[in-house]
Amino acid sequence: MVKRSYWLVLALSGLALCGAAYVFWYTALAHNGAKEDAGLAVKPGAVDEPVTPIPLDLKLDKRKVALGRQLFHDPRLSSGNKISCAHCHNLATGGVDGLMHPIGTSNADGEIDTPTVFNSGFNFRLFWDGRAATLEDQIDFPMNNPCEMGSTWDEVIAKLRSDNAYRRDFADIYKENINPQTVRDAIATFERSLTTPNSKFDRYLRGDKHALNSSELAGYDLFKSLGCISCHQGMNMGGNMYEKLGLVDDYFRNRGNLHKVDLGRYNLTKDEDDRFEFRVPSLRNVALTAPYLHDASASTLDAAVIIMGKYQLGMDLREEEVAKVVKFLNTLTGEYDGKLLSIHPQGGAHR
Amino acid sequence: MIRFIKTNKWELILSCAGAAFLMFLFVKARPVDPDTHNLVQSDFRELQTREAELGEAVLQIHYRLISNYDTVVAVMQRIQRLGARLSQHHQNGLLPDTPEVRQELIWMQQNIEIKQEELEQFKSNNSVIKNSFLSLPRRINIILALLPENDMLRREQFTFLLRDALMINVDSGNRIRGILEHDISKIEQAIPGLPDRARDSVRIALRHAKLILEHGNGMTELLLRLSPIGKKDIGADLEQIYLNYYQAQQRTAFGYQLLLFLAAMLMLGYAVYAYYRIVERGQELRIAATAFETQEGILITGFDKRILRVNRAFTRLTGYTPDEAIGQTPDLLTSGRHERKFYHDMWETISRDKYWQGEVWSRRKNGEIYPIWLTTTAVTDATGKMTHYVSVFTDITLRKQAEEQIHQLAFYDPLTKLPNRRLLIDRLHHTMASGTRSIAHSALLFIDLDNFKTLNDTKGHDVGDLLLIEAAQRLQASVRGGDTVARLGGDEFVVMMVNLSEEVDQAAAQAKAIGEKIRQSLGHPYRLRNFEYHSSCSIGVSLFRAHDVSVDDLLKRADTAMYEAKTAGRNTLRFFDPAMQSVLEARVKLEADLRHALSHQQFDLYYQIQVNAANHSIGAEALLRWMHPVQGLVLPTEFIPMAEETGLIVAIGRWVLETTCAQIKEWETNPLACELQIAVNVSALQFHQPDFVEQVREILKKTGADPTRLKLELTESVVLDNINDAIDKMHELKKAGVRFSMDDFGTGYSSLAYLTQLPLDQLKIDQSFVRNIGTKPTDAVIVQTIIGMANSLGIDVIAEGVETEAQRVFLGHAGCGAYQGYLFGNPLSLEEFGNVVLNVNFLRSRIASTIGLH
Repeated sequence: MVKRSYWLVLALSGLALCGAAYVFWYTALAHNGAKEDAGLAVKPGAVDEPVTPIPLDLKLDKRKVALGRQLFHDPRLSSGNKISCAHCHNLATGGVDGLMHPIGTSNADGEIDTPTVFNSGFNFRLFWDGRAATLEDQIDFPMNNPCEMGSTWDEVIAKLRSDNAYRRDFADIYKENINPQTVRDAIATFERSLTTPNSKFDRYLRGDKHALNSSELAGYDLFKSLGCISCHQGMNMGGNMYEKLGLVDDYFRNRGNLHKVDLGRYNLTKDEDDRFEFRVPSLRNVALTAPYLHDASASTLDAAVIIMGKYQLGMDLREEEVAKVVKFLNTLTGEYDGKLLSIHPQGGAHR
Repeated sequence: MIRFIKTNKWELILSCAGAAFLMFLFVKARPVDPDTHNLVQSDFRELQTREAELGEAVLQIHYRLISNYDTVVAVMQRIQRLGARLSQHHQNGLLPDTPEVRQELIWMQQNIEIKQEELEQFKSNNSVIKNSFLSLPRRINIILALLPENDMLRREQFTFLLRDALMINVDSGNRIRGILEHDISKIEQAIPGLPDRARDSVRIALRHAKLILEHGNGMTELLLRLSPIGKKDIGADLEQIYLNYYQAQQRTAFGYQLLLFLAAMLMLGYAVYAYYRIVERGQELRIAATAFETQEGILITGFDKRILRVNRAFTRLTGYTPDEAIGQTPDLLTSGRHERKFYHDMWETISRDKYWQGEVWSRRKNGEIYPIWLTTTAVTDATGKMTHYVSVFTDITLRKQAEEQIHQLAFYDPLTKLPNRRLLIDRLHHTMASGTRSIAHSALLFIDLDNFKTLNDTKGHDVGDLLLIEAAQRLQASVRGGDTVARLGGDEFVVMMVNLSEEVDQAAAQAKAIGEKIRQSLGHPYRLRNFEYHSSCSIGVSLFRAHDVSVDDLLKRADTAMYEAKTAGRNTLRFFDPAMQSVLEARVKLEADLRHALSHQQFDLYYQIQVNAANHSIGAEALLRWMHPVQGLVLPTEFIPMAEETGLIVAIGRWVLETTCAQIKEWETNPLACELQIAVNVSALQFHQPDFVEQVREILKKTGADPTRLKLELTESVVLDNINDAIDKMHELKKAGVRFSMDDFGTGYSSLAYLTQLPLDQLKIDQSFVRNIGTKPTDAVIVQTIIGMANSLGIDVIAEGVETEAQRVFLGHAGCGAYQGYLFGNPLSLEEFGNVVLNVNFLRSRIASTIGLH
């Protein structure tokens, strides 16, 4: 008789334990959903400086960076298996292709000058018209653009999944394995890692008064007094606002050949006020990213400076002024992987 | 296990349901996870904070406190992310999914987007204005440098232009704007009048002024719109909805908590109740356990009769430990003394009545067999099916012994171990009851020790007891096996004698004989302790047969008789019946007379004729007669038993033989009598005398009689006493020529085998058979059989007691060769016999008259 109640007690305890375990697991799960990264994308530095130096180490997941690098250089992301991200955003050539227009998978010309991938993580939006809010969002555009990589996610995922090395690598990092989110996350993490700290100017900003020589310093002063600093400010020396091209004078009327891309942000917002408005580009490593302006109409820095001065500031800059500014602009070239960025002698070679 | 589930399935289902219900309550009673709530709350708050931050950053930028847009861009991005998170919270169910909430979310998103747009506008406007405000003063300076010093009017125009443009910075109201516009148009009109080198600068200055005008327009508004002051925060309504929802959830959770608490209290209450029930049950169990461990052996078996439990008493009584007993069946304890039917009936009763009680012989482990009182009860379950048997038993060995003792005490005198009054009366009843079947007499003797009281008083009760014990032993030694000696009390003893003679006289004589024996025995001296004591007793005798009298009366009679004996002077015996007494005395006298009879020559021999089938006399039987001087003729039936008892028969028998032989000798010379064979009855006592043969020979020699004329008649019982001795004696005497006849043949206990061993010459058919020839067919058959057998064996046969012709005819047909009886002649004295035998005519006429009479 006694034995029977033992069984009963045991059974009930077991049930109770199961129930408790389930409840705990459930609450733990609820927790998981709530956690999220709450950090700010950019931590403001000294708020009264127009320009702040690039941080030396962003502390990104090294595995993701490595995987992203692989994907960035993988031409399978394009339909013809010929074009990788690096094709246009060549790390050896300043993160750009050095062409006026990028050449895509169909060998047709792209429409607009390729912005650099370096320090692209500090841009508040991507593309000249700012249509992508994050690096992750940006990836979809070149991938799906028939003039660029001309592929689809299904294609790309299938190709990636057929690669055992990718499967292994993805499995190591992401429990969801290979899907568009994880691919985007890997590539974007890699892109964020492409910072170029320790330029001469950054060293000057950090306190090294001798990092800039007198003419470079004079160029910085001019940069500020002329008013270039009004738009080309912040950590990335630009990339954090929209502005109209042709503030003081009508750039496009003078240039002619109006193109759809020239309409800028108007293409997205359809707001008249946004006509000819573009994202202000970053001037970091500007010495390496010729040609300049969205239409690549300036092939040298000097030319770019002159155009900017005329149409944005309403000034005809003197030669020595331009030279000083250009001298200053050259100090904005930073280091990647510990090495000062430079361009290959070949120039804009495409793979 | 399966069976457990089946039998308790409702309880299990109930408990599972109960557990599930509690689990449900518990899950529902969980308050909103505080971490999650904090997260949502903090997101709402952060949204508001960031909004304020945005407004402040914008102002700071506007007032040139911050010189880059990174912060404000970061804040905006944070706001966007918070908006997205709140939407995520809604998707995760942390915000209720109502149309209201969905609408609020849409508005929130829209507001955020609007704010973003406003920020972009601000940024680009701000950059332009900043630039133009930097450039314009310089440009005006250049222009002023180019203008002639004296052109005050124009110089004033440009100064005003600068002043008014700068005013826009402070107030972008319509009035100022109007003034600036006016300034600009005035200068525009004046351009042609300006020197060439100044024209470009002027145009640029105007351009800056226009820019300031354009982009300053609405700057204040923008700033206000971007400031959170005075406006409802983005998501404030949503937050309120969330808080309401949260509180509602908390209240619901609390409600469930309450329910859970109630349920828990109920369960606690039940648990307490159950606890007390358990305590109670435990108490009952303890009582049961104690009851179980009683002195009585208890064993509990299952329905398959396998022992499940035994108590300590069981082990004590049977010798089997629980380990040895459990698993066995009660067959373990069977003694083998009961038949299978006994156990079969027991179980049948249990099946029917659920109960059985009775005495059983059981066996202990050591093999010892002992009696138990066993009670077996069947335990039934709710459906009435028998599930267990509970057997309780006690060892009744002692009880049985006690019963025996009680019986002893009840029926036996503790001192002398003799039966007591109760048992005596019981036996008296028995004897009387059995007396209806037989007509034997029984006698009751009351024996009282004379002067016992005196002994008690002088020597003490201990000595008195010793006397009593000794007396009891002597009494027992004096009686026969079937008799009962009892002690009535005090110094009174009773002897019950059974199976005495059917004849009252003889019974009386027997009783007297034993009584005398007893009296003498008790009269012998006793050795009590260290002295000799002489005692005597008074005896009262009462005869009885069947239900002549009641037991009480019988006892009274015997008592009376004893009292008579006491009155008569003690140390004597008295019969109750005075007539009895006188009969006895007569007998005593007769016996005394008998002793003298021989010496007084009072005996005489009579003769009865024996004839053959042809009616010729062939012999005669000599019959003893006693001529008592007072009583006259006394028949042998009266004195022969007395003679045998006293042993006088030997002398008398000898006289008979002598007389007969002398008579034979005398008749030698009588031609009619010389052929006769004279038969003489020989008593057992006589025959068994060791020198009987010598006696006979001696008599024959002395008288000179012809032995062949002498026939000795023996009864079956005489011979059977010692058949070998008989055979020897017979052979011896036969050698001498004596003949032998078996008297009263058919009435004794002999077997026919002996018959052939004896050297008999004749069989005498007992008169009882002859008498019944016409009336009892079976006796007739016996007669025929005896005759047939005797003829076959070559032995003569003679029928006794022939009284009718019909009997004679029958006997003749059966082949009987000789007859004796009234039909042919009565026993006659010598003188008469001489007349008859010697007178053939008398004999014939005698026959005829006999026929006629009958």
